[in-house]
Amino acid sequence: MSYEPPYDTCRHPQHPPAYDYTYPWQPQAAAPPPPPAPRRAPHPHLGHHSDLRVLRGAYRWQRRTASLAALGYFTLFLVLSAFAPSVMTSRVTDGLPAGLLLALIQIPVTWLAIALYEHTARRYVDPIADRIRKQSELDARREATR
Amino acid sequence: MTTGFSGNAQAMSLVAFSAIATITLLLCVMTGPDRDDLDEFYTGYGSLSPMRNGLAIAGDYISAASVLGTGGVIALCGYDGIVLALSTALSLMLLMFLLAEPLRNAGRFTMGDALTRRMPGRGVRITACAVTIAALLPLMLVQLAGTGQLLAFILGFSGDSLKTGCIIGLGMLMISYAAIGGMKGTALIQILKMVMLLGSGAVIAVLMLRRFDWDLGALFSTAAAQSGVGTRFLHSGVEFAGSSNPRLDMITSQLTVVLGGACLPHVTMRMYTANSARQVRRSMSWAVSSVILFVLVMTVVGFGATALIGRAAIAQADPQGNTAYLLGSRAAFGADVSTAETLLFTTVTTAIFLTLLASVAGMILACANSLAHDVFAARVREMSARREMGLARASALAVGIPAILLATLVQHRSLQPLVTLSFCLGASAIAPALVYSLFWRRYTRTGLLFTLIGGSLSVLLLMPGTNLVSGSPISAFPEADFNWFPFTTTGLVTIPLGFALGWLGTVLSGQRASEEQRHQYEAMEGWILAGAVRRGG
Repeated sequence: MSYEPPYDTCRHPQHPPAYDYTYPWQPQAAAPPPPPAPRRAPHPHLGHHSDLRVLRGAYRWQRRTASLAALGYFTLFLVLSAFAPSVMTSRVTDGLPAGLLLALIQIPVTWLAIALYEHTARRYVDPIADRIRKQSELDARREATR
Repeated sequence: MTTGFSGNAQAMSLVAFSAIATITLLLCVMTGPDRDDLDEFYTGYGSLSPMRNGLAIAGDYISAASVLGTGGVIALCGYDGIVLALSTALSLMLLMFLLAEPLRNAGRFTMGDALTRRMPGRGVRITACAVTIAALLPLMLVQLAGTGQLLAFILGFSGDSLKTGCIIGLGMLMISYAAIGGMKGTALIQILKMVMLLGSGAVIAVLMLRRFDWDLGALFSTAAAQSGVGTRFLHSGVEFAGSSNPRLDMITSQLTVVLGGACLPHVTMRMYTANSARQVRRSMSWAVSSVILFVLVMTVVGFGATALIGRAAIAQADPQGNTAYLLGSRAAFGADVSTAETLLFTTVTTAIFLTLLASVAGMILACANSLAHDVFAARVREMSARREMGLARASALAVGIPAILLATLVQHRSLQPLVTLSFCLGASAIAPALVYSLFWRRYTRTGLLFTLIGGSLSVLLLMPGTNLVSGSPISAFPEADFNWFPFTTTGLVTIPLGFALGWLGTVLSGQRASEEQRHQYEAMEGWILAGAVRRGG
């Protein structure tokens, strides 16, 4: 395959990894000599890592909830504007129809949504991602020195 | 076209425009990348703080077409314009929630990088580049052609050759920004533009509210009284009243903006400049906040324009209302204008001028990066960084010059369909491709190509039949009528089609291919989700 993975060559010139974790399906240039029987079992593949499964779950929950809530609210607002004009034109205060009020409320709600997203991401997702990143760096280093 | 802007304001604007053009070009030269540093040219090394990066994202996102166009729709259609502005803001928020972090982890310089992360191959890269250019070229044309008209409006000239001269001269300036400054240089210009736009806009909005004694209700009801359509101005339905199916048309148009707006490549390319997923999130928070603030400013200024000078006068100055934001700013000062107020008004016009320059520069850069990195550099196995950067700069010229020529040809037509075309391509081809390839494990290369090519082709086929292209006095070809698809956007058909084609392509490529894809995805899931094995160690 003619495609060259850009990262490992330019970012770790001094430690070329013996096994390409990023493109494991690519044919290896030369079969590495069998390692002297490792004392512990080799580390399991990243894709089946249990931490990764937890992270996948956390991300999926956060993304789905946040995106669907934002999109859902807006679609509801659009459908109400189009098909329920009586609701949207009823006056709340003098001069301000309910539809316009609902539209303007979205501005502060957006700020709230961003704050909430940042908070949950920092609290629940970042620690797992950090752990996985550290683990894979350790792996890469161990592979390089082996 | 008489503007009523005093000669004093025009002279000051001219001086300010020349000054800003010189200063920004100087900024680009000073901060431009070293000769053989690709990372610096394409991403600026992630050296910007989240706040600055966020302002740059917002700057790329709020193009002149959206400032002037949305301001116009607010002034002419009231409620529908506010909904359009909210769609714009929501689009960026969805990008933040759904795509920003994995996109940053998967991509390196361009959309082609992000898509080929799982499915290496030249075909995917070339298609990605073609879709990038197809989606951004219409938007560039709109802004370039608008440059001539806007400068004619502000500076008070009307000769056609002078307008064409403006387009060519400023177009060359925009190309130089992209070629000399790279990502970092254009980021600085975007930051400067956002600060000016938000700062001057906020002051104008406050002045406007003061004229209505800080009473929003009074502002809205005066605008409704002055709009000529009464309280309908404050309800849904003015914008799409001429359509044969106004409700469905309204919903699909707004959803097309929501899905397509933020997926356009000149916005997503800024995701790659952050140096970690957390940085991208912080940047996006800043970006969405500033866009929301600007929505607020546009709402007040747009409604104020209608309330103070009336809808008829705005429609007379420009049938699409593109000058409403400027007219509103001017009207906020009242009848007699002091020197300080003239200075403030000059700041507003300069901010708009800078918006025009910066947004086209950002789009040229996105196209040039894609052309150089995805098409030319991927063909040669080992291309030196220096040559690739030279190529990227030449590509800026290769993209920019045809854009300028086309812009001089279309400048007398209605430009609205071109904006719609960009958003439809973003929503029907780019959005499904990005969502599938970042989150669907079984997605195959055939599926990706089906989405990109099928989605784009369906938009290009349907678009000529839509409302804004022909059949009405405000359309691009008012003298003809081939309006067979009675909607404003193609989104109703093409967005579901884009997603369905991706699914179909994946199913057609068979169980084995998609099983293989699943393994490949799992192998790099740590990379996409956690940013593992990148820049670390």
